[in-house]
Amino acid sequence: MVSTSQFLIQVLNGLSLASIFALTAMGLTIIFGLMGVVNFAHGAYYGLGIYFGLATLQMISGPWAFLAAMLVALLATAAVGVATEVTVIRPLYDRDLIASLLLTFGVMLVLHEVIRMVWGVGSQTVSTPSLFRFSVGLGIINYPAYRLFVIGLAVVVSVAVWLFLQRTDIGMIIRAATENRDMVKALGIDIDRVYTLVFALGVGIAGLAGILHAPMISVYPEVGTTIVVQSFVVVVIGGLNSFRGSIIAAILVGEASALSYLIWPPMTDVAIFIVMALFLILRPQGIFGKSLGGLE
Amino acid sequence: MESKEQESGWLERIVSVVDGRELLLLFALVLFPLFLTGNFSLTTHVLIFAMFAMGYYISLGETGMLTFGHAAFFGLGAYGSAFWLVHVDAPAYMGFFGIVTGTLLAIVGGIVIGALSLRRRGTYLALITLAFQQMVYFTFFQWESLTGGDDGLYGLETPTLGIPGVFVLEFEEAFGGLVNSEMMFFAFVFVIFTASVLAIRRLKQSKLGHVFNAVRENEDRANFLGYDVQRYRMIAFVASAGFAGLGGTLYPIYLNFVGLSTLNWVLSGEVNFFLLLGGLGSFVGPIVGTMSYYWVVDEISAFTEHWQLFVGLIFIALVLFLPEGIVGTLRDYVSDRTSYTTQEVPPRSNE
Repeated sequence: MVSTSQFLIQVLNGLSLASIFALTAMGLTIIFGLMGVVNFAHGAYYGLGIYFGLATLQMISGPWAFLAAMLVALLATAAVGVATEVTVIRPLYDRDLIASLLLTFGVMLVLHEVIRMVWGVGSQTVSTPSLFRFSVGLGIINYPAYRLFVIGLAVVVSVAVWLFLQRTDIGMIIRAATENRDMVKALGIDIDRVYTLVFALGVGIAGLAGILHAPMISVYPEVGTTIVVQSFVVVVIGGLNSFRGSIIAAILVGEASALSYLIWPPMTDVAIFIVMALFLILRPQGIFGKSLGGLE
Repeated sequence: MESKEQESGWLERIVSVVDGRELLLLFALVLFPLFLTGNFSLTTHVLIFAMFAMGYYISLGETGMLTFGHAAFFGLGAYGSAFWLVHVDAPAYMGFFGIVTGTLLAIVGGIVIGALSLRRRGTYLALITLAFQQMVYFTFFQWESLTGGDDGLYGLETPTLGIPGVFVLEFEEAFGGLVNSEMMFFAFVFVIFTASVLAIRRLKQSKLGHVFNAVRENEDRANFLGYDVQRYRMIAFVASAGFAGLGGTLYPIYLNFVGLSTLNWVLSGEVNFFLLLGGLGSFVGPIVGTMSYYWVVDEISAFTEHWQLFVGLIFIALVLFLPEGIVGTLRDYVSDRTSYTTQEVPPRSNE
């Protein structure tokens, strides 16, 4: 029989997993919402974030090293994103769906190989940052502070991105561009730069999600291939252009994965796909499936 | 126009000879690497993956359904074939029932995954099929007693085919060493490949094939014409899964091993690449694409271990500069009036 404390720990584990999914799916959502590009390379950017962070941790130490690693992961991954968008993704905007799927798949292969060339093929571990190496007492359970930090940070980043899209001028332009790109262009706004910014923001957050997730997993060059499929499941359930939907779906999928561990441990990998299958049967259009244009 | 025709006169003549004789071209292509390298083993490998690509062609090329999960069917076929060889205690000559088992497993997989995935279209269809493929992957990864988990199933014995006392087809040396086991197996795979290609061509030219094309071109119009679009998408999907699985069943017999790499989603990306490289609007495209891919990989991996970097870059360059693939580009170069244009590329989803 599962005890209450075991259950609570798994609920929190589910939330920390959901935090990672929410961050990776957020990038997929804003990139698709504005650019119409399904980014298959998203997991590779998440992987890049881990390795950029890892390189930072090898150079500096001290209690604040991990925060520096997070910053480097975010910015360096975003910089690679800028380079990708400008060189290969920009020519794609008027092309069909298959072009964006296949091109970003090619980008993924290239990024994986670059990671292997720079950092080697072996697997590595990232230790929990010293700043968070303690447990927090939450009533009947003690829970690792690091995971609580991840949950908190995901909430902060989600709110910040949402506010950025809803309350700033650039956010307004981005939302307008999802409605009518040509109109925004006609108003004299340099839409190309907005696209570059959005792609950089999306993959930068994926890079941040990578380094945040790294202390909980084993790291290898193709580490992103698993997370990208899980993020796709999240956006299929939530709706590819629904910000709210993808966050709710991330929590659902994270909890399904964590709680299925209590029922039957081998099921954790498959649980999220079962959730997706159920959604396809009961609500094939996704949580907020009705609105199919623009970001919410 | 005049000068262009004169310039490409010879090329146009070749293409006009081959046009309508696609099958001839196809078999010439299949046998070409064999004569070039004399390597039966490599050619068999390419043939098996070309069958996979032909199967996927029914989905993407004929019906316009882009998936990222077709390796699930290739893998189900491969494991089904291996299950028979490993888990079923049958006489050796029954070994080829693995091919039937594997194909059936892939078809069942196609029905289940198709019934769920085909509820959505376009981008979502690609993502959902990818997710279900991962589900199969993780299930097979965890189910160690059946699948060998991460290690896969190895040491599979090459089965024999025949009726005891009447005839037995064994893949070993024959005719005093003139024919070796690799040649025998190549011939066997070639026969199955040919039968599949003929069957797929027959399907393509049948009324069913034309409905598939109608669905690809305009679902609404096909619907108004009275076709149950969803039903035809399902038929195409399951047929596609079946042929992909049939290709997969030969793989463990060829390798004497089956592993999770047959279920890896990167393989689903590769099969998209095969079709794109060959050209989406063409029946010979998948074969041209598969052959070219393995040729390029073979050449590049000879001088660098980082061959995937180049494959990725070629992938990107292809999407940007050669969207109609090798066959499509060649045809466009030869003639502007051709049925193989970008219009046959599946339309962008309006989801």
